[in-house]
Amino acid sequence: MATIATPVLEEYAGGTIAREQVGLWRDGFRRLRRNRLALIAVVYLSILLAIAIVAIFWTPYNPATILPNTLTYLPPTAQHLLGTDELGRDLLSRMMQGAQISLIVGVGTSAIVLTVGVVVGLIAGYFRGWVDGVISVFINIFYGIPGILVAIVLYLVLGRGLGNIMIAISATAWMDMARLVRGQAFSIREREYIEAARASGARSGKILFGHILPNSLGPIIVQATFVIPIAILTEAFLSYLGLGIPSPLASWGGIASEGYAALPLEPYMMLWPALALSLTLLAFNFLGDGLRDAFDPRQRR
Amino acid sequence: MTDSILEVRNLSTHFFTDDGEVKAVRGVSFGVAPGETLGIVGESGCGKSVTAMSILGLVQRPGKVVAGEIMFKGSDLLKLSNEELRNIRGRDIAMIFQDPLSSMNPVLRVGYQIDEAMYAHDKIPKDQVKQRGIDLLKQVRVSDAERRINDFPHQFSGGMRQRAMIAMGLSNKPDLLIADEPTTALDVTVQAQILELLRDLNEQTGAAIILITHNLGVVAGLCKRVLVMYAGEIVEEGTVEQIFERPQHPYTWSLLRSVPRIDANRGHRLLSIEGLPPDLIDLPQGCKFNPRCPFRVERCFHESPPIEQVAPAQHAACWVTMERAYADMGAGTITDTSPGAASGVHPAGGKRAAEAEVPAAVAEAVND
Repeated sequence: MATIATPVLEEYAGGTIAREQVGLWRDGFRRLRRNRLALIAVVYLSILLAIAIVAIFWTPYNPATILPNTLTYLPPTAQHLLGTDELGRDLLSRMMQGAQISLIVGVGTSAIVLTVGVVVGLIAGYFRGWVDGVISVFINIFYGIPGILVAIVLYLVLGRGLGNIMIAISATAWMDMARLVRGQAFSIREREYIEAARASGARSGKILFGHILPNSLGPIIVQATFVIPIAILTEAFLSYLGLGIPSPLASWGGIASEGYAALPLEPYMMLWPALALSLTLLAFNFLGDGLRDAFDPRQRR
Repeated sequence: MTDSILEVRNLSTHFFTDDGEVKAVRGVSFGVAPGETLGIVGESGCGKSVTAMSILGLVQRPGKVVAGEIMFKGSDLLKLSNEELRNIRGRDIAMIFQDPLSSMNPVLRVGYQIDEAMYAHDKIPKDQVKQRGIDLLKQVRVSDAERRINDFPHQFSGGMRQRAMIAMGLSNKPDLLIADEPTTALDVTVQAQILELLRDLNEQTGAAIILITHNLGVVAGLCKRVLVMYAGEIVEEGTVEQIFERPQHPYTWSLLRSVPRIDANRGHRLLSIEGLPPDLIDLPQGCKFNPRCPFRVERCFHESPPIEQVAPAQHAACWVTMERAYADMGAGTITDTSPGAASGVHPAGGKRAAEAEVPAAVAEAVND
């Protein structure tokens, strides 16, 4: 990494041997700030989030309205910065709404995965025995089935909708989280401070959520960050197949799908969602990598 | 003893491992009087900690208490439900662990961890918890307690962490404090401070203390009564003076001989107890100490000695008590042993016994 020695030097410049005492969080974020790729990712994602929020209140045109007197498949123009689609709808407006959908699906799925995975993982790892046996066997069975297949089947059963797509993606995505948390709980429960907490009369719930969970937050946050791009990609893929977000809601996957049909005629309609998806996925992955490095205790300086 | 707050009777805790049944604690009985300081000494793996964990019901799978009674304030701890036991842990019986660094959760503030022990029980009114946390930290002599209470454990030194652990243990005003090797991870000067603190707290709060250690000096500095454990059994019990001045079990005697003494001659050789503690899965026949005992007789190989009174308030489990060994030495004769006789010294051990001396001054050396 590019930045190694400077902060240490700064600390010693004060002439004290005792270094500044920092907690896990501040230390982690300080190291994240030094990671240039992660920083760029954070900036990009902040802009994307801003766009998605703006899109709640304002888009250049109504993304669902077929604009009168407007040509279809327009290339970028002054009126339509990203052009128009096959029905003459404004692509910029639709892309903005797509950003909204992608972020909602990504973060929403991550939240479901976080809740279910952490609770199940903690229980399995802490109580062990038959509870852990049942959960582990269940997870291992589902590991043999492609997650996308489960998501498609479940989504068709549940019916279309933004909430259902998140549930369908979470249906398999929580398992990685549960495995991770279970492993963490397995090792942390053997630590002496857990025994000490038990000896001081702490309840199981307190030990689980008050001691084991805070000690595994680093890896959990990293994993939760990696769930976001997976969810966004899965949603885009489903929408691309025509199974995703119901029309007329715009989704990047859906725009790409419609754009694919017009690719020889009008490449822009394919280009924008592809670009947006790639950048967003890349950004989340860089952020996740950055967080992983930041929370890695071995790199603590 | 009828006035004991804790009465352990015939406690046996075994671990059911893949290699076999590890009989870590076998038939241990002892009592603790209110405000008493009791030391439990023995080598690593002799069952001291398992005994403590059994009392608190913290023995983890594959371990299990297989027999016995642990009477505390009139109820058998082994028969209580998990919730009832949880209510006693940290409230009536508190425990301090060996390594103060790993005994504190690294991501939580010290004050939070001290308060947590109080919030877990209803003994201390909720609105007094914060203030009591600070007072406790002062009581265990952490300077600048108001500020340090918001520190994280890694900002504390080893000695301060152990003080904080003691504060945590005392937070609910327990009747009994079990200290499992509380000074082992600390350097000598800090050890002395911690022991002094425990002694003062014992006097101030009246909490009984069970001190578990392998360090005889630590026992001498704090405890009035001592249990010596070997291979999961209590082999000797007595007052601290008796144990140090007139040990009756060859194991106690050997332990004392292995402690360096500042008043000994330079040429004085330390005795190391030959061999290793027995495999707790496959225990030797007869007395468990017989493979390492310099005084063994034929009977030791066949029959396990019961623990018997050898002096007022002193008990030992040995066919050949040290009393007899001394007598033999004093007489200058080594009685030849006929097989099965309990009166003599084993020929193999007799020679070593002849060069033995009673380590009476050990107690004095470490006492002050």
